[in-house]
Amino acid sequence: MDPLIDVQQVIMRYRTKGGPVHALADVTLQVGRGEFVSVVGPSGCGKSTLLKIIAGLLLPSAGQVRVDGVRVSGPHPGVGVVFQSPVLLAWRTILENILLQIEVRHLSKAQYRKRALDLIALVGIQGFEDKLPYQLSGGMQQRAAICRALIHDPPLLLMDEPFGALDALTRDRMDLELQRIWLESGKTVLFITHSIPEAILLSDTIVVMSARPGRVQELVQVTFPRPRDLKSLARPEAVEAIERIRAIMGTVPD
Amino acid sequence: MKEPADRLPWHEQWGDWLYPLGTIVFLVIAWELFVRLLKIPSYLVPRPYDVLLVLVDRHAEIFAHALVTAQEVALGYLLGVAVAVPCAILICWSRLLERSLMPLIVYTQTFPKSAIAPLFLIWFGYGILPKVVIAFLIGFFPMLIAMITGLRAVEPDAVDMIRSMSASKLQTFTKVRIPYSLPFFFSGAKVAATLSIVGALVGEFIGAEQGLGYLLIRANASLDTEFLFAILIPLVVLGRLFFSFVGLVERYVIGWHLAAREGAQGS
Ligand SMILES: Nc1ncnc2c1ncn2[C@@H]1O[C@H](COP(=O)(O)OP(=O)(O)OP(=O)(O)O)[C@@H](O)[C@H]1O
Ligand SMILES: [Mg+2]
Repeated sequence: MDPLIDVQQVIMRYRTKGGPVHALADVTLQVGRGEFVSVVGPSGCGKSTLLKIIAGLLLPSAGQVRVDGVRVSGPHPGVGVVFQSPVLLAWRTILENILLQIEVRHLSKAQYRKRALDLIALVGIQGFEDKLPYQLSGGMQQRAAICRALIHDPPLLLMDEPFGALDALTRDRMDLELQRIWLESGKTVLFITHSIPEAILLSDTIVVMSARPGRVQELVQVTFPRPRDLKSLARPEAVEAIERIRAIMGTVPD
Repeated sequence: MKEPADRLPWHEQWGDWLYPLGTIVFLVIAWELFVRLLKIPSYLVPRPYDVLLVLVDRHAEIFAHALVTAQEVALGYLLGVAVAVPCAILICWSRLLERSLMPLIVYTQTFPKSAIAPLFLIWFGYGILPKVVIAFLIGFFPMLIAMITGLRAVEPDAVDMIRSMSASKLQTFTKVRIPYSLPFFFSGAKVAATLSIVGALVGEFIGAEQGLGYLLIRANASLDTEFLFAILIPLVVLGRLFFSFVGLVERYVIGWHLAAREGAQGS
């Protein structure tokens, strides 16, 4: 079957006052339907840039992206994006922030209200639905942002370090919850993270990127069975994979 | 939306009023003593008590003129809001308009708008219209610039966020960019509130038959310093009322912003 996401020779150069910033150098990448793919790489190597290009928020300087066979030329339907920061609207309550997705897509808010409340409970911020964002901690805000990306049940989830702001325990819980949602729903997930163990816990494939200008350095397949839990990370295959990714990231490409 | 805060002791609850009020009482007494002890003639600096007497004595006359000034200010200001907000949105809507107009608009900042007030008298006569136009013009630019600044200050991530939902350009404006700009707009709107009073007064100074500015000129011509001082009081009140009104609207429209700011500071 053809891949859901097909990134072909994408190059990205930001034009800035101080001259061009070469963020991505020739990235080619496929993500199959229903696959969970993580992207790891040093800070500033263009992970967020790549995600924004796939979401249709940025046009690449060269190359092209197809999602579901259609060439991406702008934001497309069927996607839920979690950004690196929560970006909640300060004047809307948590529930209204989540339902923004529904409002903008001209769906019925009444119909999605219950689903929103279920998601709020799922990520563990129940009781805060009528609060304004400033009344929540950064980690809680990020969990609300995850609800907002999931509310319309998109087949493709693009997540940019969604759990970076959470404490270790909550992060573990959210990882397992995300795995459960993914197993149940068959969604395709592109997941950016700085945590190699997190990537191993969740992914089928891990894309290791090189430092800026970013390119795909290596693909690491993670094959051991699911559902995985924290104990799975102690398995020899997992330990070996962690070591391998560390080694790849440690080597400087020429 | 607001949590019931722990009760403050009474002098803290009213502190925002009591402490400045104390300062005023102190200053008035000091003034009275100063004028008496140094025997300053009343045509230079009148005694506060005499000023108060004149104010009470001629209150009907002063009030009627204050109403005219208030009307000019209110009309000019509202016209300013009604024109500045759509103009700002229009300018930020199109990159072309923004690039061609914005540098010029910034340039007008340094131009003293009251300089063209005499021209408006020629065009619009001696009634309230020229004053309304001057009040409008003086208040309009700070509001326009504040609103444009706000529309441009939007977090790029917030725009990406709503665009990722396949939002239309109209939706990115109504749901993200305009609300984002409102705190900026209101800071401009408060500056404009005081400026438009200046605008109306300048108009009245140049040529009028009514209004507090006209009364000031008249009192000045007859060296009636007590009356002059008495007119300043309704001017202060008018300015304060007007400013508070804008603050009230601000609290109503962007309460979320003020709450978040106070929340961030810790109560
Ligand atoms: N809007 C922009 N304009 C100019 N340069 C940009 C812009 N956004 C990103 N860059 C540059 O592009 C490079 C890649 O940025 P990007 O945010 O994609 O990195 P990242 O891999 O997500 O980093 P991190 O892990 O720290 O989030 C960086 O050098 C950054 O400075
Ligand atoms: Mg990033």
